[in-house]
Amino acid sequence: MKQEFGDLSSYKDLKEFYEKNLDESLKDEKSIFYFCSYVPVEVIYASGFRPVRLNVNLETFYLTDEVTPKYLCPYLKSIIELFLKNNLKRKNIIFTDGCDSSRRVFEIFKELSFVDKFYYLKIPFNENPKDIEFFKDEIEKLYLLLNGKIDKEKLVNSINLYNSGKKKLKELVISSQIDSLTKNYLNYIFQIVDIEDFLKQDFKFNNKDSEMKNRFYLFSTIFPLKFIEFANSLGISFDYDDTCFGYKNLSLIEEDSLFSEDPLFCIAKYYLKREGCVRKRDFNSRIESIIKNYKNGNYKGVIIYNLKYCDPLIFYLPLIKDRLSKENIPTLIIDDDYTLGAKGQIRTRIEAFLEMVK
Amino acid sequence: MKYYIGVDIGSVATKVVLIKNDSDVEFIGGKISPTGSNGNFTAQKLIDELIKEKNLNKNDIEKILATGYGRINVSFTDLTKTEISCHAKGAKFVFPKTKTVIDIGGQDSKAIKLNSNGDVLDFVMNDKCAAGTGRFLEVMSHALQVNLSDFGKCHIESKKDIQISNICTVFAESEVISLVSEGVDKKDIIKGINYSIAKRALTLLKRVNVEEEVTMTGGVAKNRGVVLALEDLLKLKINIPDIPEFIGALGAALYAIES
Repeated sequence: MKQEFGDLSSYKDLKEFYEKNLDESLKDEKSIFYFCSYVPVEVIYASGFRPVRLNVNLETFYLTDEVTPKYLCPYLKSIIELFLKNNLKRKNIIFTDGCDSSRRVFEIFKELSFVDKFYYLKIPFNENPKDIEFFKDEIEKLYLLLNGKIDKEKLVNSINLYNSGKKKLKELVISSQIDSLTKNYLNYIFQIVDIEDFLKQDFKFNNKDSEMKNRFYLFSTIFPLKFIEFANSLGISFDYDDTCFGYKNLSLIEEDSLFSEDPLFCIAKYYLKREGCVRKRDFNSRIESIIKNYKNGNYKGVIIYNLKYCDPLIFYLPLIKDRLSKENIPTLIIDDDYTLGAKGQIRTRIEAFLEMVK
Repeated sequence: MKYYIGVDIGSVATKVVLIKNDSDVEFIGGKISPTGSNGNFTAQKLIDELIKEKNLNKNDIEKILATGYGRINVSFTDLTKTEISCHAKGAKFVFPKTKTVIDIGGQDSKAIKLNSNGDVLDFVMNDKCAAGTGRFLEVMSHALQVNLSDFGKCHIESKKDIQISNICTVFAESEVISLVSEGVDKKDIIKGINYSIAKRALTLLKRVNVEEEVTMTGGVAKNRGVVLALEDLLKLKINIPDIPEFIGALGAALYAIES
């Protein structure tokens, strides 16, 4: 489906565009939805589908609480709420075994008839050659389910398109001076629109971020976009987004000798070797990469958005906090359940942190 | 003469402190009142009363600074600071060797770590529920029909250790009611409640790597039982200001001088 971008010059335009397109994608039969950043969008696009990462801002989970355990990941609960609220059924969805909640949500979605075509992608915890081979097999099965046959040319074309899209997005979010909210919405739009339409769009933004002096490093798994908006209203600019769908995903699939011969292997290798997820076995190197990325930028501190019941993150939080404090990196942990329901307390924490780092 | 006012609009009570900054900072007076539904109005009323009581007029006041949950919407000043910074400032002023502050207020509790200059190094706050706060004590006081001011005395007179295992205020209230109906001595239950609060505070203190001297601020510090329980758990002495509930407002007044 072709998306009309129109004139997008501020984050408010982008927000409106994002919400409208996400709505439309729910009616588009060519949409394949996903929740985990390990889902290879290149394979979905090469199969003639539109990959759409689901992310919604909802205040409550009343309907979801009737059918799921309370302690389920609030991000996934917000997606279930969206399906229940809009009576969405029989959608094409790719699940993963990325975390406990995503495994549970697979069962819940099947039970509630939310899915038509689906695939349950198994992701290895390590990135050794045998893990890459395993993941390649998984991706191949997914591709065969969606496309019926292996078409290397289409895969290479799709990889090239996404690489170009990432390059374009990287220039906008890393190099340019636009404000962090605009950067975030651009990244989120990239996750839901047709990649070819994205490449055609000429983005021009007037709003510079030069006045925002409080640049911070955001670390999280999944966070609601309204958290970024709220933090921004308090004078916080998240210049580095180190989250599931953050800037780590802007690295490119390398064009090595296997590129055209075995594109599925290149895709598998890329997703496993990309800057890691909190679920990975070797978490020490993950912490070191936070420190390295932090030191490469001019940040005042690290803000960790701790999504309630996010088991992979909760487990490592004390380790991260301890290691960052040894490096004298000011760190603030914000606990929230995806709703920003305790705004007053979050405000106090952020403002006190600002007073502390000043 | 330069006078400064600090205002701490908390969820339960609003506190106002007047100080004089000459060669030294001098505490002139303070006033406290329930916040009610309009924190701005309550604070303004307290400011006016305090100025009048001390035979001053509004022009004598150099600056006013607001802190606490109600700081966001006040009409009498543009100067604000968070309660984290203000409690740290106030505690350091009263006990200059303070390295760790534990503030237990009506709605939340926080542990604050300071360096030797009094700068905030780290802080943690309780989760959004009322567990481990003054509100928890209020609910228990109501359930037991015992005044909060008697909680310290009851704690000292208690002969038996009782565990309150529920952290959630609502569940803990049911637990306390069950204990009463089982005929357990109220004094022992109160000691258990005080320990429950102290254990929550201990968790926060450990998360900021508690270091001596520790100063406790906020209204709950007036409950001798909680202080004794926390001292027992920490195995060290805690500084308690004469007016612990005013320390946030005092810190705000001190920041008013600097701003």
